[in-house]
Amino acid sequence: MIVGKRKDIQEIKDMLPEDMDDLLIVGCGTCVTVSLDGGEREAKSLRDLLTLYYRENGSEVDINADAIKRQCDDEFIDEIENEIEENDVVLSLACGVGVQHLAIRFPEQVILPGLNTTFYGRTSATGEWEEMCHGCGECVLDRFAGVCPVARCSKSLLNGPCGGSEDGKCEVDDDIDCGWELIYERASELDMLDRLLEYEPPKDWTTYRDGGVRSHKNPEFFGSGGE
Amino acid sequence: MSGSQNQYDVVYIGQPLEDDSLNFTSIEPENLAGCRGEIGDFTLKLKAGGEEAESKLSTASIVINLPYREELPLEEADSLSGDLSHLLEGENEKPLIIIQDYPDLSPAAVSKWGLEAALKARENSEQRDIYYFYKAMRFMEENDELYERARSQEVIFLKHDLGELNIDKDGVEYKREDIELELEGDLVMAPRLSPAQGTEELAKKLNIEQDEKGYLQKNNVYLQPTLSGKRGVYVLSGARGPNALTYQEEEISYTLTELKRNLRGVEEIDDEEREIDDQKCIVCYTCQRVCPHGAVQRDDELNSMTIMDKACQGCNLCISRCPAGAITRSGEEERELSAGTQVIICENSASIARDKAENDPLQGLEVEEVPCVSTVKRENIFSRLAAGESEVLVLGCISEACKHLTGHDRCEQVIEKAKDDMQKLDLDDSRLQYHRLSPRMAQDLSTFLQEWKGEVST
Repeated sequence: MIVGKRKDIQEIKDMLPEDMDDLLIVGCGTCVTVSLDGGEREAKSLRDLLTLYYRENGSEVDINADAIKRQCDDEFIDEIENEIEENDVVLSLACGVGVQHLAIRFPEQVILPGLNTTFYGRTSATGEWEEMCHGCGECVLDRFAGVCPVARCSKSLLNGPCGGSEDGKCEVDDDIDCGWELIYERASELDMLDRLLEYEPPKDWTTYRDGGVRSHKNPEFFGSGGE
Repeated sequence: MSGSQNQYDVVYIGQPLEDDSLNFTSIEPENLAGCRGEIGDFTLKLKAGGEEAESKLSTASIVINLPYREELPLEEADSLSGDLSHLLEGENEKPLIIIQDYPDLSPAAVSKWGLEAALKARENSEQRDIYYFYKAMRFMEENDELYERARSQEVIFLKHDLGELNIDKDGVEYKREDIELELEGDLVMAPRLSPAQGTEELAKKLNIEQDEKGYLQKNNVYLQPTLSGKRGVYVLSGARGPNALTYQEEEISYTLTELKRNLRGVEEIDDEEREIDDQKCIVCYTCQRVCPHGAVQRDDELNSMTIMDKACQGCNLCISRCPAGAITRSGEEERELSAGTQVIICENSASIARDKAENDPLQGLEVEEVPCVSTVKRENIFSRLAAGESEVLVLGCISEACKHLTGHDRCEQVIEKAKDDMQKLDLDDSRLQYHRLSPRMAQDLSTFLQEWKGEVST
C-alpha cells in the first residue's frame, strides 16, 4: 500500500494562508488510514489541534474535518463536493495522488497537502512500515528470490552487493538491512543461488521515471466496443 | 462435561493436567494453525499433518503448559533440574560445587533443588567439601529450614555477587577481598530458563501479549497466578515464566477451578456495547494489534473487524486508536466542555487514591473517571484544552499495575505526541500532563497536583 506520514505540524501551520476564514481537513480512508496518519482520527485530531492553536493566537478560523474512502476516485469525492466548495482552503491528508485528484476536481480551490507520501510499503510491526517497492514498472522479483533489489538495495544494484555491506547492514545507514544480503539468504533457502550467478543486463528504466510521466489503460475498457 | 466430537471443556497446548471431570484433549504447539472465538467458545484450527487433514476443535478454555527451554551456562556441568544421583550418592570424595543465580537470579524452586542436592550429598559423605555459590537465596516452602540445615552441616555458602566467579570446564575460581579459591570437582549448575521454542508464534496465533523475555504472561498484578491477557487462556510452567516453578501446585489448583467455572457460563465484564461500524472499518487490524486482551477478530462475512463481547475487558483502547473512527461505545457521551482544570482518572488507580486521601485532592476540578486512560482520544485532549483557559491532566497507572496491560503505556504515547505537536506550535504544553500512580499513592497525588498547578500558573 501507499504509506504516508503526517507533515510536521509547524509546516502545516506555515502553509495555511493567514487570512483564511475556514478550513476543511479531509482524511483519506484507505492506504494512509492503514498507515495511521491520514484517516478520520488524524483529520479530527488535526482539526482540534489547529482550533486550539488559532484560538490561543486570537484568530477565529472555522475548521471542519471529514474523511472519505478514497480521494483518488471521483465517486467518493462527490460525497463531500459541497463541503469542499464551502471552505476557503482544503487540507488533504491523502497521499500525493489524492491531493492532486482533488485539485483536478476543484481547479479553483486551494488544496494543500497535510501528509508526506513516503513509499509503497508493508506493515512491519504495529505502527511501523517498511519500503518494499519503487513502482519501477517492470517487476523483477522472480529473478531475485522475491526480494526487490530496486527498492531494498539502497543503490538499486542488480548484480550483487556493493563493497559497503557489513554484517548484513547497508553503508548508507546501519539501520537499513543490506538488500543483497536478504536476496542471498532467501535464495539460499530456496536453493536458487545459481540464479544469482546469471548476469543481469542493465534494466530498462523507461518503464520507471526515465520514460517520462506514466499512464496506462486496461484494454478491456477500450477498443472497438468501448470508449 | 461436553460430549460431542471435537468439542472440549479444555484444550491443552502441551502437557495436560490430570482431572477426570474435564473433557479435554491436548495438542502440540506446532500443530496449532489459528484460534478464533472467545472464552467459553474458542475454535482452534489444527494444521494438516501426516494422514490427518486440517481440523478444528471447539473448547471453552485453553491452557498452555509447555516445558522451559533449559540451557546450562557451562556445557560440561550437570543441571540442578536433572537426575544428580550419580554425583550425590556413594562415598564421593570430590568436592561438590553448586552454582545458582549465574548469571541471572534463579527462581526459588532452583534454590530448593540446590539445597536438597547439597544435603543429599552430605548425607552420603561426611568428609566431602560442598560449596554453594549464589547471589540470593530465595525462599519457598521449607527452603529456610533446608538452608539452616545445610549451613549447620558445613555446606560452604559463598555469595558470588560479592566477588569474582570464573567458571570453565577445568574448575571454578572465586576471588573476593578475603578469599581466593581454585576448585575442581563435580559442578552442578542452575539452568538458564527461557520460553519453549515456538512461543512467539503461539502468542501471535492466540493473540496474547508476551513479557520482555518472551513468556506468555506479562509482569502484571492482575494476571496472577496463571492468567494470560486473554480471558479463558491460562499459562502454566514454561509458558508463564520461571516463577511458575515455585508455586506449581497452587497454580494447577487455581487453573482447574477456573476451567470448571468457565463451564458454568461466562459473563461480560461490563454493560457497555462496543460496536465496529462495518461500513467504516477498513480492516487495518490496528484494533486487533493494540487490544491487550485478544478481544478483536475479523468477521469474514462482513469483512470488518469485530469485538468479542466476553473477551473484551473494557479498556476502550481500540476505540481511541482506530484510525477510521469506526468503533463506538454506548457509554460515550458528548461532554460539555468547560474551562478550568480537567482531570481524567483511571478507576483502578487514581480514583482509589482519591478516595483514600483525607481531603479530596481533586475537589473543584472537572473530573472524568474512565475504565483505563487508554480511553482518551487525542482529538479530545485538544478540544478540552481549547475550551477556554483549561488544563488537562491524565492520571494513569504504573505499567505493572495496569489492568489493561499496555493501556497506560499506549495513553502515554498519545500524550507525548500531543505535547510534541503543542511545542511545535509554541503552545504551552505544561497545560497537558500525564502522571502515573498506584491506588496507594494518595499523598503523591496531592503533592503532584500542587507542583503541577504551580508550574502551569507561572
